[in-house]
Amino acid sequence: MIVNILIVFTSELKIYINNRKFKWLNLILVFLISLIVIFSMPYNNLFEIEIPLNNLLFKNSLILILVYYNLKSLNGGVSIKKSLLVREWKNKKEYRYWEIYVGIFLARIVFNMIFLISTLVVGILVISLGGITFKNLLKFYLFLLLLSNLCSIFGILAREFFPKMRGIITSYIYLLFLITIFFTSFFNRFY
Amino acid sequence: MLKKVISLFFIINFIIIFGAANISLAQKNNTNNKLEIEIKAGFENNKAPEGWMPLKIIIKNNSQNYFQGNLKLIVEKRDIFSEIKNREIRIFEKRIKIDAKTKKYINMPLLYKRNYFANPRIILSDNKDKIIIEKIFEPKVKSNYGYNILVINQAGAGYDFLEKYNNENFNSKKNVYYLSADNLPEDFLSYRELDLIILGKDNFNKINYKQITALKNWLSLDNQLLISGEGDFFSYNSQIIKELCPFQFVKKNLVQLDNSLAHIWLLKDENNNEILNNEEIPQVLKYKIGSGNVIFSALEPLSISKKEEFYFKIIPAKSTKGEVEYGFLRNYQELFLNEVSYQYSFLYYLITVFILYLILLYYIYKKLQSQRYGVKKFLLMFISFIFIFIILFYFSIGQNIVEDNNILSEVAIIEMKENSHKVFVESYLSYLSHPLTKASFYVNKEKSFLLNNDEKNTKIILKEERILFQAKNNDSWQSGYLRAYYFSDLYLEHNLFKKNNKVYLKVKNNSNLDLKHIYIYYNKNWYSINGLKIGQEHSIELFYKIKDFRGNRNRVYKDVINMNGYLTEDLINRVVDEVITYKSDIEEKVIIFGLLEGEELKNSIGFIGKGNKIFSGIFHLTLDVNNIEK
Repeated sequence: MIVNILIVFTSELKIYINNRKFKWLNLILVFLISLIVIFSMPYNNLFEIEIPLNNLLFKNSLILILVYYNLKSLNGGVSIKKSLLVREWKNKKEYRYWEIYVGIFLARIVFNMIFLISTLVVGILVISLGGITFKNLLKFYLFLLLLSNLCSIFGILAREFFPKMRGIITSYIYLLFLITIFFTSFFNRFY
Repeated sequence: MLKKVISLFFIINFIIIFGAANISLAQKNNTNNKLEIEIKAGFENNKAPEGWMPLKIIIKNNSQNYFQGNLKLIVEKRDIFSEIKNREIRIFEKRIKIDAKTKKYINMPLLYKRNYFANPRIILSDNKDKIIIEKIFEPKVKSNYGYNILVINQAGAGYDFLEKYNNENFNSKKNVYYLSADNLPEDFLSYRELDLIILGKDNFNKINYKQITALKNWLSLDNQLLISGEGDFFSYNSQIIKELCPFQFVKKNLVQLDNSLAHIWLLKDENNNEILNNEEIPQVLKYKIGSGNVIFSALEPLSISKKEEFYFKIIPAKSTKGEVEYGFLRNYQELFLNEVSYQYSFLYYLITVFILYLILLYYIYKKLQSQRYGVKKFLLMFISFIFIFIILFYFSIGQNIVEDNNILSEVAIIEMKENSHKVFVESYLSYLSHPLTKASFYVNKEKSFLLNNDEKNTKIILKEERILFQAKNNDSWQSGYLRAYYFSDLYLEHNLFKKNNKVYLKVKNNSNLDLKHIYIYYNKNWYSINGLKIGQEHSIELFYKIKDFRGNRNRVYKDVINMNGYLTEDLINRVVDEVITYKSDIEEKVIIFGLLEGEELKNSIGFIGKGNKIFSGIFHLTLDVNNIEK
């Protein structure tokens, strides 16, 4: 049983890690966030918001990237072409359904963590620019991990059950998130 | 069975909750009636000269329960510069806890002027901000233009004859105040308006260390103290007399003096030599403790007429004193937070470090892909790389950014006296500290006095050698306002002389700071000197009795405006106005103003740990034309 889960997990993770398109996306986004953070003001009097601007930018861009990635990472989405559907796993090897789901989900969790850790350098920059405190950053990372995992569950299920409608569903969810993030940025209640 | 247990549990719970509520109600009702506040402002009988005075608040808790709440001292100020006439100043706010059947004493200096302030108000409220006691008190102040004398003795009387005393050199009004030794204030600011302190007959053993240092600090500001010689061996065997009198008391003799009796002290110095003997009269010793002048009168005439005669001879002349109040500088503190900008001094390093980081990241990705690493190896490599980078990054640059953004800004107003190195500084400080650090400041406790301008954000920690101000919580950017009074060293050598019916002024910078700009006011005209570096000197001609030339202040100011700190043109104008308008005989005065920038003064307040301090200061020195050497 555990061996089955591990096989699914490692092969999925290998595919994610070797996914060329994601790597470029990751690099570019980390670079963009760091530039935004460096050149944004630590606190400003333009808008009357309590939290520093680079804090907002850093958090929101991370949320966006992770949500986008987890919801759109269907076959043909952000392009993880070699990644297998649950059905395909079932046809290939006769594992039980829940073993396959757990394997894929674990791989997604680990990958999300890899992404989060790679943004820690930018996080430290935001800390030293006074945008966010260390406690706050850790709390936010936990929140982000939960959020991205939830999204990945939705993503995996959506890709499984509505293979034809996947584009529409994910873009709806994506839009919803954009709107909520926009509002929460100014009201400081969401996180 | 289970039902019974559950119902019993609920009943017990209910009783406990209801009982607790009842008890708390009972507590409140008790405390409301049984708290008392007693206020002693100024010296004996609440009398004091206008300006700084001691304030003692005594809170009695007569009830059986402890009391916890807030104590506020509020003064409404008539601000002559703002359109809103009355502005509330919360001088002091403190959370207090008083145990049952006990008293709590709070000592502090209070600034009060009749025409500037409404009567001070003290409010005691409970934890829910419900006012329990509100008390308005009225200090009985006398105008501060006279010669103010404080007599420290037990009787609270006996020196009223000094009010009649007139001299050729000095004929202004004299005011005599009394205070007993156990009520002495614990900070030097409370003595600030006094010109002379007389130590009379009292038990000086009651005076504690804090009170002694306060008195000594006041004395070291070129002030004058007279020890009357009325005390006995017991009271003179005290710490304060040991510090003020550097000799031994041997004997107190009764002698006959012009048909009346008098006591005379026999004194010896460290080498056991007699300092005074009974043949020399009047028996007065004059000496210096630091830069303060002390007079010890060994003679104590027993008849009243002889005593009056004797004191008229030995009372020293009044020393000059600044009487300016800069409360409006609080505006600067409020502006500080809006105007302060983030320090990006390490930005270029940051960008290069990030580009390096991205190149490394890309290199690792590529290497991993080409060698087809397993998942385990990948995770290990990736995570260790990131963490090593984070640690290197933070300790090489991140920490410096953090320390660079601890900002303390000081605007100091320096009161200089003629021919004196010692200056009195009133400074307004604002600070901003990074969330990653705890801002705390050091201050020399004996030479400085710090007021917390907002108790909400800053707390005071008293340590043995210094006062520590610390930001309260550490989750976000910390900011706060402080006010400090301290002594420092700054000397501008000056020489005012007359030549061909014209007045000349020669100044030389003998301090250890560069002066950025000097401007001089005399006879409604302004003159300026553009900067004076250490050791430099400059002489300037001030027109005398010729009123054709009218210097314009704005023209003089032109070079001044671009000061680095937060001492803006507006603030300089206000300080100048305040100094000039307060002088009564302005036509005979030459007033020198100077601007300092950059390096801070001695004994100033600074960060414990690393931080960025911005200092700017303005000094004023008043010279009398009548004292010109001809």
